[in-house]
Amino acid sequence: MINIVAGIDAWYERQIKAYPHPNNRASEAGHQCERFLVASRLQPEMKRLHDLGLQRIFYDGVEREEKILSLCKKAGFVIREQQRPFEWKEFHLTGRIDAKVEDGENLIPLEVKGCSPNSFREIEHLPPIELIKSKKPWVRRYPAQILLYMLMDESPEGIILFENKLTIKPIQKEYYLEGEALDYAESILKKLERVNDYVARKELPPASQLEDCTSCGFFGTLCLEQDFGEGFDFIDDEAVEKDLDRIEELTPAKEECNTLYEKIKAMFKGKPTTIIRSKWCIESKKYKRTIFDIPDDIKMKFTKKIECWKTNIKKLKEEH
Amino acid sequence: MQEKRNDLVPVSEEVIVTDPEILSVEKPIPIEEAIKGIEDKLVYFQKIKHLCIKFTNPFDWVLQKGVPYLMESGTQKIAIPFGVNVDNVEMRTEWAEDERGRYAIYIVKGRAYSRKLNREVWDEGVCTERDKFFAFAYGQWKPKYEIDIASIIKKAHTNFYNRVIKRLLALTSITKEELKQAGIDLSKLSDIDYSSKKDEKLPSKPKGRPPKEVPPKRPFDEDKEKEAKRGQIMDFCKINNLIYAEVAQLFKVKYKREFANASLDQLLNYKDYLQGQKPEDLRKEIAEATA
Repeated sequence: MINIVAGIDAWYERQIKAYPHPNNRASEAGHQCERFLVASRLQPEMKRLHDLGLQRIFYDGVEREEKILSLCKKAGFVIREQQRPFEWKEFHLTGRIDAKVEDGENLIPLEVKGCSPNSFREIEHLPPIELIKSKKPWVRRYPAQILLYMLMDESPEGIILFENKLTIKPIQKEYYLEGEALDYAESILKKLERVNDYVARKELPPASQLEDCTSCGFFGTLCLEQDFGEGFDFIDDEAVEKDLDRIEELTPAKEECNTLYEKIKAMFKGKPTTIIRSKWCIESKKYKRTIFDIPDDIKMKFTKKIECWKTNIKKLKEEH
Repeated sequence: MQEKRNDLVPVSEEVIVTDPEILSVEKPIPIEEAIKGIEDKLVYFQKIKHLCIKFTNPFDWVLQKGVPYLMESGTQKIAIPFGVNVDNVEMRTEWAEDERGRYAIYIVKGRAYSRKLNREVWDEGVCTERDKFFAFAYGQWKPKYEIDIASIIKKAHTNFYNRVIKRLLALTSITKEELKQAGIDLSKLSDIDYSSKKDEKLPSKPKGRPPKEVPPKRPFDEDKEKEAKRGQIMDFCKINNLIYAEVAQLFKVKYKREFANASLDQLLNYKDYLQGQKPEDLRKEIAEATA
């Protein structure tokens, strides 16, 4: 029998290529690591090729972009200047915008991205500029990309259109060249200036340890060292061990207790006070709770993150 | 009178040391104590080994011909609790030759130190351009320009990390029994054989009517060839310690255009030109072009 999967994968493998570039790229400008940005220009040959899995995702991205833009056209939007290249000589910056969408007399830069349900959930609830704080390194780069296109196009507005790969639900994140977004765009340009200085001197910036270092194409070729941190504390405290053992013993009972409590609550909700076998009394009282029904856009303005501590207790594997 | 003989060595008075302080040497450790010390250390390392395995899960292990092998994911998990720092890492290239010609051997060497164990180990990892995983596919060796050198260097680096961290944490020669004792479910371990996939033949093409004539060369093939030539130039840079960006600049000076817009002929000529030059002359020329 013919093996379709092997054939497709062999085709994907043939598409895996490196694209050396002499300039900074808008799509990479948001990368945290300056060493990566300089090395990409000076020593692209030292960057490991991406794997088959990532190639499948890249290919899907290209196809998805086509599909979404065609959908926009079907929905009546005027899409122009697809894949228009940009160059900003002062910053040695180039890029290729997905498209521009007509809004009255204005043409707004538009980037189209497909994302996993997991990333989509995160993106959906973050304000546009907050994507730079995403847990996913590739998501953190999106705002810089659209903001640079907006600067190069002298357009005060820009849109990133995300599509959930599972539900096909779209959301749009709107960017304006003002406030925090403008400050961020300026910080990116300053970073590119530093990168250009290093490139001119043909030097690599010192390596910095970032959380996503190990997945970088230069890790193991240009960045060889890694510090795994201070390590855990190993203590020999019998009392703490006893407490933890006790927590383990009680956990099933706690779960059973919660289940029974929920069962009783559901059984007697809204019923008059009930006495059970002259032993127990169950009351169900109505009370009023104050809630604040705030529209999402207003709630978002008052959202802030505070630091907290969470303690997880995990048991190491049982010995046999 | 007896004649003085010149063939005899003059004798000097022997000095005998009698000072007890000079004569005293460190008392030898009784053999029982020395053995006890070694046994204690063995128990200690056994405990570390046991604990390390507990930080992993079955998917961090594979069986190679029935012997457990800890993969990179597992090594990384174990390095964190023991505060491992890998430093003084250097990469060097050596050359060897076989019936297919000259090939590079990449060697990564360095140190791993554990803050928790206060122990350090030096080691090295190696990978060559003859590594089957990267250079051999579908029953044949790949041409040099199709091999991703950066991946080979990375493998040497990964090999170094795995070796040095495993040695540091006494994780060499793990048996199935030890995994089982530390709570690893052996049934979840996969048994791998690297040779099988690489020896496969190319996937068969769907059967159909054979073409009547050879189709003309499409632009796609030309692009592929361009990519290949560019790959060769990249390799050339790496081998001769030249910076790709500078070589690209020289190309720009010579051909008045970027690599990306190069024709196949230009790339071929340029590759031949680079290979015909001595690296030191080329470096001078590049410096002039980029000045």
